[in-house]
Amino acid sequence: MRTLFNYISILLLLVSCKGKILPSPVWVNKIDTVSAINFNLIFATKEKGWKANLISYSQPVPLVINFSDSTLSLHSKYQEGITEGPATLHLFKGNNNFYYFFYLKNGTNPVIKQKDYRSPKTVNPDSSLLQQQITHDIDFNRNLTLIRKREDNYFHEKNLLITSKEGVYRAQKDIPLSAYYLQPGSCINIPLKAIYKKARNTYEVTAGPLKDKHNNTTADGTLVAFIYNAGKYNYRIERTLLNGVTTVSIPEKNKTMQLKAIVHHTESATINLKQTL
Amino acid sequence: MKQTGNDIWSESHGKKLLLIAMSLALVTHGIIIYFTLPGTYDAFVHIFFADHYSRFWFEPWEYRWYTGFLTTSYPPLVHQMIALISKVFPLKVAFCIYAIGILQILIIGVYRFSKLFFDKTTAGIAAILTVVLSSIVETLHVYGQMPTLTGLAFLLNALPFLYQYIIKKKFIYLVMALVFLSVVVSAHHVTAIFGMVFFIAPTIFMAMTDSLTQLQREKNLFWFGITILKDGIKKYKQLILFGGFMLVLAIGLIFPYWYWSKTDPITQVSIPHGSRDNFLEKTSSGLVFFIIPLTLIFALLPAISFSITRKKRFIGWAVAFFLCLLLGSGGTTPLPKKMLGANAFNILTLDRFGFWASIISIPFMAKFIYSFLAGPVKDFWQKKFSASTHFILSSLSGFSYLLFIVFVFHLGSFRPLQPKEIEIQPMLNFLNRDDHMRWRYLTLGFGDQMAWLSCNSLAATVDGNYHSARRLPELTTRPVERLENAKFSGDDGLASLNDFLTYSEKYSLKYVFSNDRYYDPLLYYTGWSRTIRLENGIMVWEKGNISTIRPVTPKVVAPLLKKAWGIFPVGSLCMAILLTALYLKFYKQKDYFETIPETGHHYPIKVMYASTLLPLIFFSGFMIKQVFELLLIKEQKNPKTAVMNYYNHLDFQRFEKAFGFFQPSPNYTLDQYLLEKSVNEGGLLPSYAKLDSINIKVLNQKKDSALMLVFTRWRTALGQREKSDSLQLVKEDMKWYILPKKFVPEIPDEQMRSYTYTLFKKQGKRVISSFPTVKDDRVKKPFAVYKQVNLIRNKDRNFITGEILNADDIPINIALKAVIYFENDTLKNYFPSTAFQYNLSPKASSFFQIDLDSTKYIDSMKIKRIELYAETDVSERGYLHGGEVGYAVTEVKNNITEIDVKIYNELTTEINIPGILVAEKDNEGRIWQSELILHPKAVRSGLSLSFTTGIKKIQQESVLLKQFPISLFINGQTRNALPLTVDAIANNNKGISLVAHCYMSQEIYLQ
Repeated sequence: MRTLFNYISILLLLVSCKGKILPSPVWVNKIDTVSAINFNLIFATKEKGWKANLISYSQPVPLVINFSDSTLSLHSKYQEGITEGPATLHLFKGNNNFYYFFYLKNGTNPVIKQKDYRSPKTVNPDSSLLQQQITHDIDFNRNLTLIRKREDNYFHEKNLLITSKEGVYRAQKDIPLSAYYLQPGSCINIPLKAIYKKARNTYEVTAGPLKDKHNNTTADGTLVAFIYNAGKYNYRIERTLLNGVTTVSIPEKNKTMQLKAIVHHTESATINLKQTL
Repeated sequence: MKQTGNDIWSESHGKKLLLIAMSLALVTHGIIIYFTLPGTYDAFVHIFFADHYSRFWFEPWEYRWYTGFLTTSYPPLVHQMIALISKVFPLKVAFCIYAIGILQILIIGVYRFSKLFFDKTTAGIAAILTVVLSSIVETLHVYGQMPTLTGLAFLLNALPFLYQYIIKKKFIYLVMALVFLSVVVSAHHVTAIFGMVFFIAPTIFMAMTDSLTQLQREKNLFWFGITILKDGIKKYKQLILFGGFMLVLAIGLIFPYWYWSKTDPITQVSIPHGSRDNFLEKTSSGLVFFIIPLTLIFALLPAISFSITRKKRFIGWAVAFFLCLLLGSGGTTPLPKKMLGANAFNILTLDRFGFWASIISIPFMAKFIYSFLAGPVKDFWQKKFSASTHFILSSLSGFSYLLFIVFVFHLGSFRPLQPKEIEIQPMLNFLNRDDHMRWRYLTLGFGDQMAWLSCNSLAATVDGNYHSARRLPELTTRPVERLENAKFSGDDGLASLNDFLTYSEKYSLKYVFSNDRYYDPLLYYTGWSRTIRLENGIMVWEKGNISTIRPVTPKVVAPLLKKAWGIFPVGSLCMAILLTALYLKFYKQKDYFETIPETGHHYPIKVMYASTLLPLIFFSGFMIKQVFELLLIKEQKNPKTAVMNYYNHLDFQRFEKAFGFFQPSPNYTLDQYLLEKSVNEGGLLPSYAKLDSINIKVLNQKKDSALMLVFTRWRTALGQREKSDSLQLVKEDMKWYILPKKFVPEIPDEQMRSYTYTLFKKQGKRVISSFPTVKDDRVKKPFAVYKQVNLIRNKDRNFITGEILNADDIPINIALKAVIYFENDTLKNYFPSTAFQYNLSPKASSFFQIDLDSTKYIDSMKIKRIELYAETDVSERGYLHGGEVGYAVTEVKNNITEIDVKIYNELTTEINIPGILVAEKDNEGRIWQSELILHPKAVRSGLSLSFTTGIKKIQQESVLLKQFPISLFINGQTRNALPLTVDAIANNNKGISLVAHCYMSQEIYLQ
C-alpha cells in the first residue's frame, strides 16, 4: 500500500509539473511599420533560447536570431520584396508565446508600373465604340500603390471613345497581353458581279469588297451564301471571305438564273445570270 | 491398386507428381500469362481495383468510373494482394506473379482435394491434369478471373481440414478449415456462397459416410440415409460450431460488401451474357462457355459417371457434379432458369457452374487416366489388342488434347476477343496536359483495355468495366455492358451512348478517345469535333462548352468499416499462412487420411472402350474441324453460300478474300477491284456500318448461273439502314463466282481542283503557366443571336425549334440547353441531338430542334417556365458543312413532301456522309420542325449526287405553345430573339428550307 502511495505521489508530481513563466521580451526599437528588406528588430530579455516566426500577410519570412548581452536581435534573410500588409512576429520558448503586431512594407522607393485594363477587351463596332478603362499602379511585388498622379486613390476609371478602325491595339506599350481588339462590324451592303466564262460555261461571281459602316473590311472567314435558282431547283453555295472578297464559280444550268448573296441579314441585289454578261 | 514395379510409383510418388505439376505450371502458364493477359476479359478490371488499393488503401470510394462507386462492392483480397506486390513490381507483372502463385496453391489444393477420394498417385496425376485442364486454362488465360481461381484454390485446401474435423473432431482442423475458408470469403463471395453447396456439403456428407462402420455403409440406400441422418444429429454440435463460425466469418470479414449490397441493391436491367444462351442455337457461345471448358469431362463422362456413382461416399459429389453440369448448360434447357429463378439466372454468369463441375471431376478423371496409363485399363487394352495399340491410342489422345490446349491458350488469337493492344502513353500525356483531367473522358473501341488506361491515370471516365457498380440511369436502364463497345449491344447500346454524347454536359464529359471509326458519324452529328490524332492512332474528339467536373459527394462508409475493409481480408491470408506454418510444424500427421477407404481401379468394358476412345474422337475431331474451317471449308459450294461468305468478308474488310469470289478474269484484277471500290464506294454503309442481317432471294437459278437479290440490314451509329442489291453468279470448276458489275466511272472534268479555305487558329494560353488562366489570357465568349425560338407540340411530341446565328467574326461552337421548370419546383435539362450544326462560321446560322418529353409527362408535371441557354466558345474546326446543295420540293401529298436534292462536292476532299439539315417553315418563316437527313453513299471531290428524300410536314397537326414564355440566355446574359423574317425561298418550296450538313473524314483541319 505504501509503495502504491509513493507511485501515485510521483505521478501527481509529474502531472503537476509546469514550465517556468517568462517575462515578455521588450521590443526596444518598436515601430508601427517595419521594412521587409532592412528588417532588424531588437528585444531586451534575459532568457536565452528564443525561437521566432515572422508571418507576413501572405507568407512566412525566415529570420536570423542572435542573442548577446541580454539582447535578442532578429534579422531577415529575405532580400526580396514581399506582398505588403499586416504581419505578426511570434516569439516563443517552451510554453511561453509572445506576439508582436506591425505593418510590413518593402523599401521606400519601389519601382512602380501602371496597369491598364480595358472592357470590353474585344470591341464590336456594330454596337458601340465606348470602352471602359481602369488603371492602377503596382510595385515590383504586385503591391497596389496609390496612383502617382492622383494620390487620393488606388484605381482610376474612365470611359474612352475609341477609334472605329479595326485592329489590335495595346493599352500598355510593349505588353502584348494588354492588347484590346477592335473587330470589323457586319457588312452593310454586298456588291455582287458575275462574268460569264465561255470556255468553262460558268459564271465567275465575285462578292465584295464587303465593308462595315465604319469602312472596315469585313472579317476573314465570314460566311457568304450565294443563292441562285435554275429551273425548279434552288441552289446554295457557301463561301468565306478573304480580305473582304469572295468568289464562286457557278456553272450555267439554265438560260435564266437569278443570283443573290446573303451575309446574315444583309442581302445583295438579285442579278440575272446571262451569257451576255 | 496393382503396383507395376516402376520407380516412379514408389512411396512418395504422389508428392513427386505434385512437384512435376507445379514445375510444369511454372514453365507453361508462368511464361505465357504475361502475353495472354492483355487479351483476357477481366484481368484489367482486377488490375484497376488493385491500382485503387495501391493508391487509396483505406478509402473505398473510387471516383474514376461511373462518376464514383464503392470498391466495397467486390471482395478485396485479390486486389489488395496485387496492390501490395505492385509496390515492388509494375502492375501487370504484379498480376502475373500473383496469378502464378495462386495457380501453385490451386495445384496443391487439387492434390489435397483428390486425396480425399483416392490414393496419392491418383492425386498426383490430378495435380498434373490441373495444369492442362482446359477449364482452368480458359479461366486463367481467356477470362483472367483471378478471384474465382483464388477462391477455388483456398476452398480446395480447406476441404481436407473440414473432412478431418468431421472425422477426428479435433479443434485444430476446425481452425485450419475456417482460416482457409476465410480467405475464400475475402477473395470471392460467389465461390464462398456456392462453394457451401457444391463443395462443403458433399465434403461433410463424405466425411460422415466415412465415419460409419463398414456394415453401416453397406446398408441399402434408405437405411443408409437414415443412418447418416442419425449420425448427423449426433454430430450436431460439431456442425453447428462450424456453421456458426463460418457464418460469423463470412459476414464479418467482408461486412462492408454485405452492407453495400443491402443498402445499394443492384436494380439494373440484366446484361446479356453468352453463358445464358441456348448453346444449340448460338454455337459460338456454346464453344466458349461449354465445349472448350468441358470437352475432356464429356469425353471421360462414362468413367466419371461410373466412379462417382459407385460409392455411397460420393453421393454428394455426384449430385453436385451433375447439378453444376446442368446449370453450366445455360439456356440450352429451361431447367437452369427454373432452378435458379429468373432473377438469379439473369445476374449470374453460368459458365462458373461448368467450371466447378470440371473441378469436381478432376479426381475421377485422374483415376481413369491413371488406370489407362498404368492400371487395369492399360492391361485390358494390351491383352485385348496389343501394347502398341495402347501406345498409339495414348499418344494420339494425348497429342490431340495438347493441341487442343494450345488452341485454348491462343483462343484470343484465333477468335479475337479484344482490340489490338493500344499504347496508352500518348493518352496519358494528353490527359496530363492543359488541365484536361478537369473533365471526364470516354473511350470507344478499347475493349477491356479501357480499364488499363484508368489504372494509369487519375482522370475520370463516365464509363467503367464493373457492371455491378453502375448506378447512372443511362447505363442501368439498358442491357449495355459498357459504353466503349456500344456497337456490340445493338440498338440499346447505341441509344445509351447517344444519351451520353448528347447529354455530355450532365457528366462533364469533354473528351472521347476513339479507336473505332464506326462511332465517327454519331460523334460528329452530336456536336463533337476532332481535336488531334495521337501518336498511337487514337482520335481525340472534344466537345466545347462543357463544365469541369462538379464535386460528387462520396457515399459514406463508417471509418471503422474502412479500416476493417483494409485490414481483415489481408489479415485472413496472413493468418492462413501463419497457421499453416504452425500446423505443418506441430500438428501434421503422416497418414492423416487413413480413414479413406480403398477404391478399386477396375471399370466395366463398355466404360473402358467409351472413355478411351471418346477423348481421341473428341479432340481429334475438334482439331480437324478447326483446320477444316480454316483451310478446307467450301465457301463457294452454292450461290447462297458464296453470297453469304462474300458479304461476310466485305463486312470484316477482308477485301482480298472478297475479291476471290469474283469470276477469275485477266481483265478484272485485284488492283482493278480495289480501284473501283475506292472510287465507287464509300459513305455511311461501306465505311461506318456493321452488317446486321442478310437475306438472299433467288430470282433465277440454272445449272451454272444464278441471279440473286440480296437484302442487307446494316447497323450504323446513327441507326439501322437497309439496302438491296442484285448479284449475277456463274459456276466454274465446281465453284460459284460473282460476276463483277459493269463499272461506270464518274470522272470530274478538271484535272486539278482548287478550293479556298479560311482556317483559324486559336492562340491558346499566352502566359506560360500551369496555373488557371488569368483574365488577360482568355479569348472572349463569342457573340451569338437567337433568330427565333418556338415551343411546338405535335400530338404526343414536344420540342423547341429555332435558329441561332454566330454574330461574331470567328468560328464558334455553340452548346444549347433547354431547362424546363415545373410547378412542383423540379427542373429538367434537355439538349439538342443531331438536328443542329454545333459549329458555325462567322455570320452562319443553324436550325435546331431540342426534343422534350411526351405531352402526357409534360402536362402531368405542369410547366412553370422554360429557359433556353446558349454557351459559345471559339472553335477552330467543324465549321465547314459540305458543298453546294440544290433542292426542289416537287410534291406534297398528305403532308408528305418529296424533296429532290443535288449535292455537288466542290471541296478538295471526299464528302464521306452527305447530309442535309431540313427545316419546315410556315409563311412567316417560323420553324416547326428540323431534321437531319443523311445519304449512305459518299461523294468524291468534283462529283455530284442526286437523291430524293422527304419529310412529313407537321404544321397542320401541331400547335405553337405560346402560353409558356421562353427566357433566352446567351453566355449567361438575357437576350431577345430577332424579329421573325419571311423566308422567300422556303415559301417557294412549300415551306421547306435546307442547308448542307455533311461529314468529311479525311482532312482533319476542316472538321
